[in-house]
Amino acid sequence: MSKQQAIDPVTYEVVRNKIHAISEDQRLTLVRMSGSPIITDAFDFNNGLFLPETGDSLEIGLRFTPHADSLASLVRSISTHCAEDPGFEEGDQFFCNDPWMGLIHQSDIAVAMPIFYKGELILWSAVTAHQIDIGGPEVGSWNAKATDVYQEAVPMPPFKFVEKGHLRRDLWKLLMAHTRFPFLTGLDIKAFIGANNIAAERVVKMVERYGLDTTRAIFDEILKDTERKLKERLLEIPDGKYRSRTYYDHDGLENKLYKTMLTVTKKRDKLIFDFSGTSKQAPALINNTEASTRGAVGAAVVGSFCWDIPWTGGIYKCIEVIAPEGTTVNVTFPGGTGAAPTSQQFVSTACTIFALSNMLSCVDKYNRKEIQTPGNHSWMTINMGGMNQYGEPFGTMLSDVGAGGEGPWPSRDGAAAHYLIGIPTMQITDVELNENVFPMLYLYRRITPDSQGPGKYKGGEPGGFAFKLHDTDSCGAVLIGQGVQAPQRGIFGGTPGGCPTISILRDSDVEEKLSAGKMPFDIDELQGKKEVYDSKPGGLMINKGDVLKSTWQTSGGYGDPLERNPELVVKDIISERLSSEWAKKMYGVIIDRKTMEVDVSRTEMERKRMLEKRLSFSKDTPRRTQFEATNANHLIPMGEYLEAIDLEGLKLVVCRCGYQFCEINQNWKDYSTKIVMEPKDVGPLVTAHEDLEIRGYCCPECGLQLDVEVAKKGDAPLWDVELDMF
Amino acid sequence: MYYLGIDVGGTFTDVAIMNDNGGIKISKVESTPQDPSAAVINGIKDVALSLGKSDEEFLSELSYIAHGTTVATNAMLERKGAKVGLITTKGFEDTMFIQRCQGLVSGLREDEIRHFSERYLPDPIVPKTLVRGITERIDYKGSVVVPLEEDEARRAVKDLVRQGVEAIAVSFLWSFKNPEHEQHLSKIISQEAPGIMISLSSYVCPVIREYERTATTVLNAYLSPSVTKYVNRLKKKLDENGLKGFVSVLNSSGGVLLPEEAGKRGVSLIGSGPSGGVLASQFLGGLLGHKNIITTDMGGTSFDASIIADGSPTLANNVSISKYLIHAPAIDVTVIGSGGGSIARVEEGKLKVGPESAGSDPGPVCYGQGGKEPTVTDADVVLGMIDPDYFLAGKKTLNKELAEQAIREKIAEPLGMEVTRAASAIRRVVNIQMAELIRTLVFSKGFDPRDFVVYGYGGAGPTHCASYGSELGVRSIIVPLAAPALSATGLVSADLVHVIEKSDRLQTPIGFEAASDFIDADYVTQSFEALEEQLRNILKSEGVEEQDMSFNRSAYFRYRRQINELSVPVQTGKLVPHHIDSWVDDFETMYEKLYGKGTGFREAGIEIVTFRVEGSGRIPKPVWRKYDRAVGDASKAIIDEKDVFFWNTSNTPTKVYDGAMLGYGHALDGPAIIRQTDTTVVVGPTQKAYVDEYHNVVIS
Repeated sequence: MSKQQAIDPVTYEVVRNKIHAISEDQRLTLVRMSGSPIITDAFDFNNGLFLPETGDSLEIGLRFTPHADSLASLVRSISTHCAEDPGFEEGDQFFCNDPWMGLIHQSDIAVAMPIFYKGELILWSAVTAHQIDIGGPEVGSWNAKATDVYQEAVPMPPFKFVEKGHLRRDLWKLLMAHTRFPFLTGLDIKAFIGANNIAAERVVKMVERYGLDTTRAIFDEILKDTERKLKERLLEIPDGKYRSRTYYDHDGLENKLYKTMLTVTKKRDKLIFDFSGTSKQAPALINNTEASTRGAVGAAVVGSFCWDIPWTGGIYKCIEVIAPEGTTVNVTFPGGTGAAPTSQQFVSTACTIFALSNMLSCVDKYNRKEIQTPGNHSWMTINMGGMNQYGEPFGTMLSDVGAGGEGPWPSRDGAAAHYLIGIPTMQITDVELNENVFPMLYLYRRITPDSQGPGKYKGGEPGGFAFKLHDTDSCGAVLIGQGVQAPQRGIFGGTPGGCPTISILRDSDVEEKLSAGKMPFDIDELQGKKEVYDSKPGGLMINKGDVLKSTWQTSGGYGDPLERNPELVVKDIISERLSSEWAKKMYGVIIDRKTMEVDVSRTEMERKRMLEKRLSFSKDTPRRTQFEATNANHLIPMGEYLEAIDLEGLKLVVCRCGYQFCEINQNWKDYSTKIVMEPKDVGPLVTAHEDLEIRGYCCPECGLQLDVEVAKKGDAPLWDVELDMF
Repeated sequence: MYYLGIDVGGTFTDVAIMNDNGGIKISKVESTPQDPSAAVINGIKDVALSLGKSDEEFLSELSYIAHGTTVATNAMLERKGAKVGLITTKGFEDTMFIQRCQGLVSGLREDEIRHFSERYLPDPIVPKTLVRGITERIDYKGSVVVPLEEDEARRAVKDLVRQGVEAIAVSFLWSFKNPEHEQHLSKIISQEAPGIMISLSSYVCPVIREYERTATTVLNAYLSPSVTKYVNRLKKKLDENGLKGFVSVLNSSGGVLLPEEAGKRGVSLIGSGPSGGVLASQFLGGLLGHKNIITTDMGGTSFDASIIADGSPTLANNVSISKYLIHAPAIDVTVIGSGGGSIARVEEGKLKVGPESAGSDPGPVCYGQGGKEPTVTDADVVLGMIDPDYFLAGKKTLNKELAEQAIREKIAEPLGMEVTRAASAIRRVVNIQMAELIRTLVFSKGFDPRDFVVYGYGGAGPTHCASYGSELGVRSIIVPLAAPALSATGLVSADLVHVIEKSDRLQTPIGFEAASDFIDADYVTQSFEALEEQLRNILKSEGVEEQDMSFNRSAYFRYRRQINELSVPVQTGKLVPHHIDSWVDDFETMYEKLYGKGTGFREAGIEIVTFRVEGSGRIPKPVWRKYDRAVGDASKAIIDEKDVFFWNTSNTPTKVYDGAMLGYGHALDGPAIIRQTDTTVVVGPTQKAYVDEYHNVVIS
């Protein structure tokens, strides 16, 4: 307290904002100096300032938020492993790309710099960004066929490569020897050094102006401020266990399912994230180290709980993460981690967001307001490399694939082609910028029709594109995605949205078509041999005449699709986002083709028919005795349609229609009507792995669809919210 | 001769007139939102009257009229632009919907970006039903891959016209490299719909990046018809009244355009209104030796702030307008509030002010035009900061009773406060809010407000700046002479400036020896000269003599594969190979100065991506007048003393000064109210003020 009182509020605000401005300078330096669209456009990087030893992060940047703990744990690792030998001196910088030392996968390289003031280590400045290539068997460094980490890019533990401001030439050459594209990685590493230099210079100036004791006290207060505010928010949420379960497909070698199981125990102002029950680790490619899992949890917590709380490492004072060793969320060496962020880490983040949304849905003032549904979290990686149209080597990772659908919100649709999990400011590159430097010609880039996640509010449609090679004969490519056969759920009864897709039409007549003055709307208008891929096609060649087509992911909807305002459905038909066929199947909405307006009576009939069909399954649903509910008190909400009530001491879960499912210490799903849906009936882009099923849980009384799970066949219904207080 | 600056705002139209001696006279008339040109004419008549001249006599003595207008800005904010159809390359119809994924966050502050549930896409300017994709394709070299399918194009044009579009935007891929298809389509449109506004991306914004180019072109189509309608009407009226000089319209980057050009480039007028005040501040800062200035323009309906650092306004090339990212160089002005019209209300027992605004119609309650919601201006009137009988130099009488009644019912009673205390609370909340928003803005640019001075202008700026300025902890607070019409004054001081850019791509390979082996100096010379020729013609048409023209060239360099570039100033005239080589050295020096030694990476190759020429036409104009030291002290200007309620000191005896009687060297202690033409300066209880040699009021 005494420290706090010593800081005058104006200086506190000035220094706090200065630290933010320094992080911004660091970021802008990186963005301006880097040549990589991954940094300049896709924002797959992070940067910041960190306390010595503990690595506490003074700000969690708005870029790649799953890096929330990456650089912090890197600073901890360097402090542990390098403090004595080789030691830290002013002007030193350390290189690292080792996921066991804190980063996510080998492709994320990091440079960290200790900042000294009058000989005393006061802060670390550190920067990390994804590299298009950092060596290994495949172009782009992601080897789908790896069986362990030795068949991936080399993870290099931290070593000092800038000594007192001098960049060692020998070590520079060593680093450049690790990449196929030294001209790209070289620019990036120089950008890292520049960004750290700028941060260090400004930090020292700041400390000179405001004094070391004052600035240090402010660093502490910045972290405490976040901790205090997050704790206050946690106290608003009922204690209990909140569960989330997610599946994804393919480990590169085998198309099998991987499960992420999360139980969040919320007690007073503390959260324990326990990933017990998650699948055993894969041979390589998709695994996460523990630091990555902490990062995923951090990204979800700041994104879901901290809309008005400063994003700093202070969040971790309220969080404990349990990630069992030997699983995909805490891989033991030498399990591979080549594609870690876009595989397990995106899934862990999405899985955590669902649990947090369920928590918020149990608080009246946040329910129907702050409920997030994670949209696109499948980065359909398209790495390409070879010779470009100028006869020079090129390599790229296309950022277009970040234009997935945004998840829905309680009172609005998810935005089409506007979302990638974990990067709140995600951008994609202009077509012209890509065609300018890469040998490609886009046939289209657009919003994918019939791909939305149906619900009262929809999961936004993802984007999609098709391109051919231009002014070159062939190039190498590595294609690695996730979720092609694992549809993503919505929330509170929304059904799953479109899965990502990727295919190549080989030896097509695209050149002939273009020469004849035709521009195909879809590759179906072209002749050729179509190769449709699963999630991990891996390395292959693209040749002249081939057309690569891909569409991206979205989440399921929010709320029962039959509750969707028919006007919104018709609006989608008119703007070519939805066909009338799927408007009917997804929503029971029928359009009058003459007036292009809702056919009200046929829509009512169709919706009634769909509801009756659901109710026809409810005859075997177990039912408890219903009580007269005139004296009921509202206890807490449980999402869009359910609530917990107190009926003269009896605590019950009830539906909007008044139907009493069960007591609150039971899973209401056990008393609901379970309906298994065929993926092909859910949406034209919904494809499920043979071991997965899509299940709806409906009210046996009114037929409302209350929840839809994507589960492994045989899985028990998930008990999403198990409250302590009753 | 006279030089006239006119700034059309939401509530008032300001007129500043300067004579050959640098004497400034200002006038304010009410804006006429239905036909803004009417207010311009009223303002001119008003000035003529005060000079004792007839309208015709005055207009014939006018050298020029420089004119800032919010026509484009308002059309954008109120979404009252033209009905636009967009024709683009087939397969890319969704470019304006995908928005490079920026539609949810573009232009938002970081704290707004973090609140995911409150981010929304903009309402489309062109709905999907009015977007047409046409078979045509040009590649990165500018070569035609698929020719323009003429029949399809014609059908699309007809169809859009049938649906009643008033303007057609055309943006094809790679049109800046080869405008052939766009120009061909333009001819087709002219045939099918003669006279319709056509906005071609290769004309409006010939730079790479199809999303930004398309957005700029679409906005241009959306806004230009409103601008054309407006400037035509204005010019006609002025010509009828006998204007001999020329009229020009200020654009967002601080240059001016002729009316004809303005009608084709409506999008470049989006920031026209506020940039005049920034120009004037820069000019005045030069006279006063202020290098770091926070400019704050508080009017009846808006509060704009910008930063002048080290003597130059901060500029932005890409501007976010209603969540669309456009490419249009502009002075970086941030709208941070809604000014005197901000509505106060009580929510859950807490006092909230703004962002809702009463606008100019009905306006604050005290206007007596039917406004029911109490505003900041009402609070100022209730507190006696604004004299209801002396508003706008007595041209408008305000109704203090109505203001009191509204504050009593809507604020004081719900909060259980006296009326004056409630009014004072409104002032305090709005001033702190403005201070916080300015602070964030200053910090976001990496500056500390304590290194700055605040200039407070606009009708309400002088009444509030002493308060938000002291919250910010700035060095001093300046209320410039002519503060209520500073933007208009800035217009008089502006030179003609035009900027033309052109994207290109000249590069060296990886690991080159001399850049001039790969970049042809003759080609570069021709590229610059072509731009200069265009500029020369524009300036000539604006009546600028050759000897008053100057051109500044710059080339945008970057290392190959970088996305961001550095602008390197380069020499004019004919270029030879060693010039090119020395530019590369200049670029690398600049780069390393910015990012640290050893960060240059010539091995990656370099490229020139944009040629840019800024052409200025010097306009002969008077300098601002310096006044002699005034005799006696400030006390002779005291015209009244009354109790005024300040938040910290409650009812406090406060002297009221007549601004016209204060002169250079006069000093006074707060609390004080200085009544000036068209505004009131409020000096807080613990502050001091003095009048400097340009008759600015300096508060500390």
